[in-house]
Amino acid sequence: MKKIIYLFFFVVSGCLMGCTDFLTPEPLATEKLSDFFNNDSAAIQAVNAAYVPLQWQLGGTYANEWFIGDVVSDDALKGGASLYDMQVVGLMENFQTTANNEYLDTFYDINYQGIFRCNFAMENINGMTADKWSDQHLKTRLIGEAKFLRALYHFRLMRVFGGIIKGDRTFNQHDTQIARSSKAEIVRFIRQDLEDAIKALPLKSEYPASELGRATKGAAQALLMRVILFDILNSENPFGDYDRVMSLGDSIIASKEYRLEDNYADIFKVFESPTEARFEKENGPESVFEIQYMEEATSDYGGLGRTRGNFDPIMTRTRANNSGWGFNRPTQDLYDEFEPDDIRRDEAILPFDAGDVYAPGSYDNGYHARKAALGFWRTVGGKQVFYMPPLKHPTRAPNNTIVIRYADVILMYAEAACEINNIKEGKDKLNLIRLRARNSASDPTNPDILPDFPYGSYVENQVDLRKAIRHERRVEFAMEGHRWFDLIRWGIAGDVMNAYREKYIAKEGKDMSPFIKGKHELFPIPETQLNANPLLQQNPGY
Amino acid sequence: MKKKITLLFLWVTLVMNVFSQTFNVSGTVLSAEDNQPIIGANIWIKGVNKGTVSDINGRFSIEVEKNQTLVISYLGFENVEQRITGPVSNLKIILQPSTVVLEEVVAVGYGTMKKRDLTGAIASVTGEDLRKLPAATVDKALQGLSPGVTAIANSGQPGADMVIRIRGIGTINDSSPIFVVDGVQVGNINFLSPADIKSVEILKDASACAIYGARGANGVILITTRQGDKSGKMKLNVEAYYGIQNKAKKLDLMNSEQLSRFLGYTGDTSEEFNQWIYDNFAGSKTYIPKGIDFSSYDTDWQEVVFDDNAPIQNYYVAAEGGSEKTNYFLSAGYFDQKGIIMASFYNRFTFRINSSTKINDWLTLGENLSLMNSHNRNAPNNNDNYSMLNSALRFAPWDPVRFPNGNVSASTIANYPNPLSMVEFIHPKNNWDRLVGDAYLQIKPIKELVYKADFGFDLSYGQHREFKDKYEVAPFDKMDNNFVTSSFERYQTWSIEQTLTYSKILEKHNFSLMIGQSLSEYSYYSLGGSRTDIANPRKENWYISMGTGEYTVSDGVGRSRLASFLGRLNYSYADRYLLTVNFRADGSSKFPKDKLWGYFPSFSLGWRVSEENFFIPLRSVFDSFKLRVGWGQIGNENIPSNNYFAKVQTGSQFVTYVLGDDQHMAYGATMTSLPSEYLKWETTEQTNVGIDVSFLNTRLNGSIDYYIRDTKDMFLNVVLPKHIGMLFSSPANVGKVRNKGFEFLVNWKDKVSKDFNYSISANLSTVNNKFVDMSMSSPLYYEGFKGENLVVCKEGYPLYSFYGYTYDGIFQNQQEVDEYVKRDENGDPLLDANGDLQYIISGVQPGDVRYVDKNNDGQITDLDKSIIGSSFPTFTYGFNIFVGYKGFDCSLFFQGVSGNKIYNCNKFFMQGGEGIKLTNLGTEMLHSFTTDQPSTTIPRAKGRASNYWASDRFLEDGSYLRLKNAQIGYSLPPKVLSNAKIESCRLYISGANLLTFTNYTGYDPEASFRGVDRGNYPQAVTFLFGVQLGL
Repeated sequence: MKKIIYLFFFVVSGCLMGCTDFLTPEPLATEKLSDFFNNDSAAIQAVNAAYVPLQWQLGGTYANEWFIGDVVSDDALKGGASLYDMQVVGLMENFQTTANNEYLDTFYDINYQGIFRCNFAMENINGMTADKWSDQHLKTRLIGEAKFLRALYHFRLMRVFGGIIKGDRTFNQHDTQIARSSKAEIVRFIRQDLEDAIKALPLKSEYPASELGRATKGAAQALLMRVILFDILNSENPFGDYDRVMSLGDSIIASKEYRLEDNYADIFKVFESPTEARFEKENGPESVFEIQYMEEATSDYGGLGRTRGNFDPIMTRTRANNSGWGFNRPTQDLYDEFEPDDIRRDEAILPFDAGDVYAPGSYDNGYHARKAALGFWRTVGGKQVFYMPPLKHPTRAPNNTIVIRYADVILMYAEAACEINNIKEGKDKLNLIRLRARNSASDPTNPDILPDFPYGSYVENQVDLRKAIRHERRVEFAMEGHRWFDLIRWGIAGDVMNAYREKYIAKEGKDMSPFIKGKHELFPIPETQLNANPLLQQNPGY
Repeated sequence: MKKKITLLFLWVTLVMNVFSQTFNVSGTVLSAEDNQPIIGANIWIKGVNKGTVSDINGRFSIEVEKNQTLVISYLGFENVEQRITGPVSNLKIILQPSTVVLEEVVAVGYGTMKKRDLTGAIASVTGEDLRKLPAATVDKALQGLSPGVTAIANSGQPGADMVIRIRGIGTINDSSPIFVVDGVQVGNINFLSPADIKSVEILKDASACAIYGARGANGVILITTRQGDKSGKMKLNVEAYYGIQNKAKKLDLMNSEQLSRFLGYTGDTSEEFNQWIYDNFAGSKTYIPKGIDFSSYDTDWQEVVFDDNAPIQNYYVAAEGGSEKTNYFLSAGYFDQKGIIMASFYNRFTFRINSSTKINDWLTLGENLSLMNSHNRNAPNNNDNYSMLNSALRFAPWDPVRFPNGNVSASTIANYPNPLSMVEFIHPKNNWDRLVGDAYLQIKPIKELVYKADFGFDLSYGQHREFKDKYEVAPFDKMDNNFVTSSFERYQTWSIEQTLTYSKILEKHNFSLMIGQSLSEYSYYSLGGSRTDIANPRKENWYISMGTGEYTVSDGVGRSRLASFLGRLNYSYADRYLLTVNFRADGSSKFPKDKLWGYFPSFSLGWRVSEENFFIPLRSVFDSFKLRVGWGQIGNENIPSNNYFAKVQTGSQFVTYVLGDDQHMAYGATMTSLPSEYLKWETTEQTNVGIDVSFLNTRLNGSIDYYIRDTKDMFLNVVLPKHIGMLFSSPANVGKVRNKGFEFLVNWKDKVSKDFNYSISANLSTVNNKFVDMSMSSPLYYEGFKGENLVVCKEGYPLYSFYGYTYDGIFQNQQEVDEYVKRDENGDPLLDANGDLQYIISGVQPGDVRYVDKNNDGQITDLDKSIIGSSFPTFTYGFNIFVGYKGFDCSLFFQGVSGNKIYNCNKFFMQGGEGIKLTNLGTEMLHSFTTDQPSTTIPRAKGRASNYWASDRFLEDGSYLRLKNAQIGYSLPPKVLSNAKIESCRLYISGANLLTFTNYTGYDPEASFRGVDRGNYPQAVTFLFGVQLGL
């Protein structure tokens, strides 16, 4: 009897001492932050992860940026299976956005995750002592990449929401209540990051081929041009800012890192036939910065929709026959914008209608976006057919999303030159773009196709040059997600969209509400965020 | 107040008796078992409200009139009557143990107790009760048997686990009770054959569960399996049943004629019909062979998907035997069920060995061991918009099942895969093996002391392999490559437990003290891969190694540990005042070092009022009357491990980018969730008050319980503001949920004659659930459907409440539409710049749906959404009727719920929510609103999209009363059997889900998930024939 009691208490007391060890085992298959940042490789991985949110196209809803850039503008309609298919974007396109918009919620989410990752990388990299590095230059470059990305994420948010919470450090549980910074403050912050990145980043050619896709000096310079131009209407020193845009452009041009692709069509070409994959144009000579995607046949549908394949092809392909989802459908208005025989129209827009499935109440004009569709024309039974080969993955494709290409640098340069009344420089740069488009046509020698500026009714003055550049941007970058943001930065979104609504009031404009100036330039801060953070102020009018 | 009146009444009655002429009788009450005095035996005078109880020495003394009869009774003993003719001073009354009513003993966790000594809320179900309801698994048999316990079949999928909730839903985290089988904690009980079970005890309140402190917060279900008979006789049981299952109902969909006419077809000939199809429904044109005569088909897709007369069968054999020294119980069973939805099935082999050996007076060894092997195939995407059932409801009646060339068809209208392609092109293989058991050692060095050590384990292995064919039926119904996935997973739980129990009776004091200690570890490992392009995809080649395409491989690992110290004191004084104190300390590896331990005490008191002197006059009516009061705290650690320290996410998901001319994966690392630095135990605090009564010679029994159950420090995933930039939210202890309710149980059992007996039992329970406090976290939304969330957990409302707009009828005419406009403060319509009315929903016409503009802002926005109903029933109930006459027995078991709501998603589609030409429609649309034929219930076809917003228009009353089981059996008379050397033989027919009374229009009011029914797998109507044989 006594023995048993002793035995029992022996075991109990033994356990008491051993219990804490038993209950605090080292976690399995889990990296603790406290022992992770030990070498170059960890630092590189932290920066790699900061690029990833750029790839994300699906959270609460699909989050492709062209849902704003193209669809909200006069260039495209939402499309899809029915009104319910991405209905939230339908509301945005019709200026009926409310603060509970799930697309905006997802978009907000994705970009702030990007910002956290940049800050996380920078803070941990800066915390690594010198002995943990095998290559000191690497540290400078990695910080430069993180700053470029942090600027890009802030910029993506700023042009949709205006002033936002400034992500200048990693936040934690104690940072739930933070107010928005002014738009001017955010612009200042982005510009500073990009100026730092320009100093830290190598040229595109200085990266080995295996590192293609990382942020470069040229990318930082081009993004800075875009940022400055985006906020130029609020600039305290517009002439100085236009000068800065041109000096950045000069530096990019002088670096000889980039050139316009000879043939416009090649920029978007990935397949030439079903068997032959062509990737050489990705990250090619015209590419300044691209979101990278790859072929990944075995990736899941999403795992939160976040894999390494591009969703754009399946989303924008026609619903008829080729199992696309039919989003982002070009408008008649965009189609009509092109000059006769402009090769770029047929590269952007497929006049394609094979009995599409489209619910009543939407508008089926038969056009589809082509640039991301990964297709090509081929002859079947003596007939030209646009063939979109099946993807290896049900929804994901390998093509990159172009963020900035050299043509944009040229046209931004032209725009800055025009605005400071340097008509000659502006005209020359504009004509470079027209020349390439002309040369891409079937008969480049035909003088009626895309003649040099001044053409048609234009005369050589600032007003006409500005019009010509704006037209050129619309057609050169058609369906590449720029249009809405161009309208906003030029301050003409209200006039253009209301005129569009009136013009198409019987059809596409029927469900649209009027654009209210002072409200619809920005979208509402997501309601979920206002609820979670009382210091946040909603944008005016929402 | 009432109590005082009762006491006064008792006193008056006692006093009145004093005036009669009497003499004194005294004596002793002894037990025939051990010749020991019986304390607390009742002695009363027959026909007179007067009596006493025996004292500590079994002695009593009472005043009696001449020729009166004394009745001496004690629970568990036969009554003795003694006629008194004169004064006696040493009357010796010897009570024989009752052979009819044995003292009921129930398991209470780490021990057993006499039922009458219980102070906690414990429901008990015997193995015999379970065997009356042929069911695949034990959890199915628990439905409706006990108040406060809900077992809901939210899927009729063969082999699907039931959702069991004890006293409501305590937490938004896992709120399943734990199962303890022969002392081993297991996650589910699908390895048990119901016939192996001796008893099931459901511990409901904190005082009963607290001994399982760490994991008992949502209730504990204790299962004891059968042990071998110790009488020395060997027994063999054989049981078998075979039955058929059928769908209970079909939804009313349009046929080809109805749908085509409804959609505007006016022609007569088949050519016209086919042309009309071609002109209007061109969706998958290129996939539909030329020249199909659609007019020749009128497919009932529900008949395609549902199988008729799906067989269900069960075979079971058990052998048992042994002596006082050693005994054994062996069983083997096979269960096989085909589903009522095409291709789904579940089958299971079970084996069991239980044995124990008494080595000598003080040492006993034993083990319980069971092995299971099961296979199953589920109907894919159940309760998802892309389930087989949903496809069947969407396809047009003029769509053929297969094209004339034999190929699976593409639908002309629906953007859904053909239900057949989910069966023909997907080939899953699922195999589970499970080994559960324990080995124990019991030492009894002296009479009062027992030491028990128990080593328990639960090993389970799952193997899943699935091959998908390359096929192309329609744009959304195809696979571009063939594809094989294969995975293997292993779960292991082991535990070591030691308990030491000391029991002692000291005169009127009866106490028992148990202390114990336990260690357990759960671990998990899985390995899986996939590969495309098997060159020759014949059945024998469906392996990853046969693939030629890209492949993936990944593994998963998990581990958690628990250490506990426990103690329990049971004390009773004079068999009347009962006290139970539990204490448990648990340490869990899921918490940071300084928060490892949680301490969970509980107390409960019982008062057997019927043993008090003042109660004696009521003895002729009441057999027993007990009050119970309990309070306690229990813990919950059911959250993922490794949450409390900062982690770096690596690997190929979420963090890996693409770089280089070769487009390679560039591995990344970042933080995707914040550490939960302050994590501690979730605690459930419960208070319980109960009464147990027994009347009329224990023929009528009843109990009432009231409880309040608060879950505090509930783990909630605090959704941080998004500017913090986390992919995943992290849990923190912030929420509080309150459940409270009543439970009633009544049963009446009577044996009218040797040949005829019957019983009726009924139970009813209520649960009032409320999310009292969710602190800083935002409302949690669930059940996304068509871009809207239908269910919310929001402070101040029941968990999982329905969320949406408030439906306000259908506009009957233009006048009603014109009244539905934006108004100023005076209620006058506000006009826009052009002088037009501003409609609250733009573009509405007569026949469209009107919603309540809750905030009166002249528009319908999310702000007009509110809580529109709850999926919690006001009450749930069940009742059993049993009649036995000679060899016949008949039982009926009804079960029901009342007052809950169900969101019927199928109604959305059947009334055209997806688009009027994009799915088949319900026949109710034939009565939809038109100007010629107004309707107040069905909006116009081709109406505004707003008609289909999430609202209470799709919310239906989910109340039902169901005849869960009806059974008629016949036991062959012993005379017939003895010739055949058979001990017993019973034949029965049984039916399940035979009748359902409900207003719900979907398939099955039970089959919804969080109250949302997306066309969930309904339960079958089952008929069985069975035989139970004893040798």
